[in-house]
Amino acid sequence: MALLDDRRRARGAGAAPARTPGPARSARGRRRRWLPTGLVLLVLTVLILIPAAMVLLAAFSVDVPRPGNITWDLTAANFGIFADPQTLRAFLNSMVVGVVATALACLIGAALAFLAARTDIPAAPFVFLVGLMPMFLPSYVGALAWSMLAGPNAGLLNIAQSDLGTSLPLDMYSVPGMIFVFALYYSPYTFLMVHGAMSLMSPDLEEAARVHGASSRRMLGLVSFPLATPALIGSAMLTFVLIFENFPVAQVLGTPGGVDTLPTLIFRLLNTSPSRGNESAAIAVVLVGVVLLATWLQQRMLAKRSFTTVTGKGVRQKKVALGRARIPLFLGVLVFFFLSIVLPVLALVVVSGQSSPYMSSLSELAEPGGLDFSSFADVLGSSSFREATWHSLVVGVCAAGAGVVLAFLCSYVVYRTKASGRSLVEGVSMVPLALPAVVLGMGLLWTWLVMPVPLYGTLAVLVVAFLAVQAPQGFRGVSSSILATDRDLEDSAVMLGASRGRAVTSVTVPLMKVGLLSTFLLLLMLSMRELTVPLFLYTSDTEILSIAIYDAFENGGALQEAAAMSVIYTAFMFVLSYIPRRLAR
Amino acid sequence: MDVKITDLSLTYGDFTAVEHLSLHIEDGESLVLLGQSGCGKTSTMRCVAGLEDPSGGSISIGGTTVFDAAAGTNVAPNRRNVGLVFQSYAVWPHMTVLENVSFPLRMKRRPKKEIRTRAQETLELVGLGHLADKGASKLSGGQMQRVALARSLAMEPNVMLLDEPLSNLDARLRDDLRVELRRLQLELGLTSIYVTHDQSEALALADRIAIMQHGRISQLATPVETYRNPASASIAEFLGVANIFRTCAPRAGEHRLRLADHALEIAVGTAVPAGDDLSVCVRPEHVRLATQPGAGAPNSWPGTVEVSVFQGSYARCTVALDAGPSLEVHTQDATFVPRQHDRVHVEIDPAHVQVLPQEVGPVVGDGVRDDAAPAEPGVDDDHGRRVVAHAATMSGEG
Repeated sequence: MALLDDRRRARGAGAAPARTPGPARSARGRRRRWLPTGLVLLVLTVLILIPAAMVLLAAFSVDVPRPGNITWDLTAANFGIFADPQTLRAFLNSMVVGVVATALACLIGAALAFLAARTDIPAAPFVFLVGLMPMFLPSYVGALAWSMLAGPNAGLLNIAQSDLGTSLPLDMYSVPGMIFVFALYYSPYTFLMVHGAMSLMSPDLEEAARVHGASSRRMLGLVSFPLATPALIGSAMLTFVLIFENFPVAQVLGTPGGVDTLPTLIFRLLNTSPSRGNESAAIAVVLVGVVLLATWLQQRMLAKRSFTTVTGKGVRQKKVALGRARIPLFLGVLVFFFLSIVLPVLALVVVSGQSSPYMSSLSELAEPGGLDFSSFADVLGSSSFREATWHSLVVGVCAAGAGVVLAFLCSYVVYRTKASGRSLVEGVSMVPLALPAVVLGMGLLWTWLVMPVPLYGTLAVLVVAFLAVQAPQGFRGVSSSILATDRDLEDSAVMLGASRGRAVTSVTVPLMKVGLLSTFLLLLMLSMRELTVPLFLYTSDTEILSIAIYDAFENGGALQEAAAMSVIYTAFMFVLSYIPRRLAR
Repeated sequence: MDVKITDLSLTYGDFTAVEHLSLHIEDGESLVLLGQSGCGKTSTMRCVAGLEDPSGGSISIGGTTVFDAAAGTNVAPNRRNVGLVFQSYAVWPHMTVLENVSFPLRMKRRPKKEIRTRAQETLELVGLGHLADKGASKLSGGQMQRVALARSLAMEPNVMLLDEPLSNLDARLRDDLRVELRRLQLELGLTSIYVTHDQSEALALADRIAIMQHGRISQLATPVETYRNPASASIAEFLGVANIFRTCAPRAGEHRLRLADHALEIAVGTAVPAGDDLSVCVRPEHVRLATQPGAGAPNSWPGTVEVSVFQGSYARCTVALDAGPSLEVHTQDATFVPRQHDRVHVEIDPAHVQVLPQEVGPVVGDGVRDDAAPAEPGVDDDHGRRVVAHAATMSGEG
């Protein structure tokens, strides 16, 4: 100690360093800080922003973008389409379907979530599965199945009614029909979010209510449910947006009955001859406007509340006793399960085996030769089905793989660097959320027709399209995983002599393995079920599975084949959705 | 190797984390950066590591410049050969203990055999030789801490940085590891920068303590010096001096001070320095309790015990003086444990009363204070630090 003191004394005390004036930020430094963001922004711009800009341009110009000919003659005349009564009717239909179906879906989802998470309902794990399962069935397969069940003429349920002598006319090709199907298949979003909020809620908060004198019922009303409302509001807005912009269900159920929604109208205008692309772009802009408004409303409502009450500890709370309502409620759950999964899958199986398309009584099915499942062999044996499956797999795997890489790069830039413009990267990654699939599909079509790269008409253009569509899901999946990985772990590898790249590959990526893999599987599943965007971009050489089913169904004659493919497809989707859940454990 | 930090500044947007900080750490010295959270101590350390991009100044390690804002030098953290033990340990859960410790040697492309023996030796050094093949995620907090330490030691760092390495451990383990850390640091002659907000940790581990406030160093001295002569009342408060009272502006040269908020005068050991914003500071252990008034004692006041807590080797109590203020008292005599509502007499030796300014400006260079303090009868001590009131050093402890 004395030695140290001596040294210090010897050095003297007057060596105050000269001060340099404030930091001189060099142009080189600025370039260095923009480099990583600049690169990913460039990719995101090509993928997402240019297609969006194409739609915007088309909405305000006299002609749609064509190769070598992008017109800049601007006009607002395209919006005159809103004076057309059919547009107004479509808008009204969209709104009614969106609002009513959202309300129903939220009611179903929240009720199931409460029953599964917080009550002594019999077979609670089964109730959880029932709440979740409709998610695994692509909503347009559900719509297909329900059109087979309750189509006004040859619907199986209507045939069964004539057998039974009841006459409750069931017509799926109508606004109530669409509302019914949307409510069934969009309830899992609310279910998942509310279930999460209810089961992760700290029991201390509820116990505090009990200690301070609340009865079990009042505790639920004053503490538990209010704490779950942010999740409910969030999921309601999400559900509304998803239903409002949904194209396939409306196309399957609405179009045959002459009921238009905005997405189907956009699609129809684009495909009439001559094509009315500019007007459909104008409708698309309004569609995006509504979506943005809903998202903004959601943000505003949630900004006032705090999610911090949810601890994430996953502690078991006390279950609410249902008493005499226990069995009736469970029966209600069974009815939902029956309507959302059992009946539709049964209908697909029956239709795939139905040898005669014309049937007046269900008893015909029991007759010899009435059910013939050779259609499965036909489908599996057909080269077009195998090709479509192969295309789906190739496109899905490439899009999911590239999507994870892109999402990792974006998340890394946003959360692990101090590069300038990071929030811009996050913002642009999220843009596709506000772009309905019909709009994005339209924009991607024009973009890749115009681009001087021969991508249109290849599988690659589908990969590129899926990359754009799924950028938000990829970014969310990977960034939540990167946030859960302590950055000290990577920094310590650097301190111990590894280069930054080496630290990422030997520490960060291995630690994020589960997160990256489950994001990959999520993207793969989304690619497999996406119908709308490829509908704009596929050619007869690049048909994928979802398109093949849609085609077979729309062509009417191939109903049996469509049903058989749907069954195989659904089985495949169940397997694909099951793997990530296993992984998460 | 020695570390020389010159005029270092670090800003995040509008927030200045480190402001014109200069510091020289000798080869083999253990320097502790002590301060409250948000004072810039961790930021300073991360600048040395190369994990932050400072906005100005320069840093050199062993004579090699690793950062210089003016010259545009910024050596990548992996090329600085600086060890860093993180508060979170950052032990990689997907590797075994041995793989963790071998990592820096693998990065230096040492031969396989050497890596294994060196890593094993380092593990023995921290007492974890028997756990080499265990998965790192299965370790206890204390063991992880040792792995993190061994991993940094294995790279034979030029400087060892430690970021509150003991704060996540329970009190008992913390005490043991503190002693062990100091033993290792002295044995291996490590140059180290240790960041903590725990004053007893700082006192135990430091050759010198740099107290940081608002991104600047406000006191730089040995532990003994820091403990005895805090440079300001706010530093004293941070160091556990519980009894701090503002005073009315005194006349220079007086030996008595009047408290600003209470009708009480207190005698001090030395002549009072000039200045407006002075406080009297008394450590709780320097207050004596007696049952009788001390005959002729300069600072003796009657009061009532408000609360009293037995702590084993001493009792801690709060005494409300009849004249107003409450005093925090640590009795030295464990056999005398006052009870609540007891009437007592409180005595303070004037030599134990320190008169300090509320705040002080930053020190620059090696202990030179930057602010132009008014002329005053204070004495400059051997480190160039202006001693404002000399009371404690003259009380026979020094």
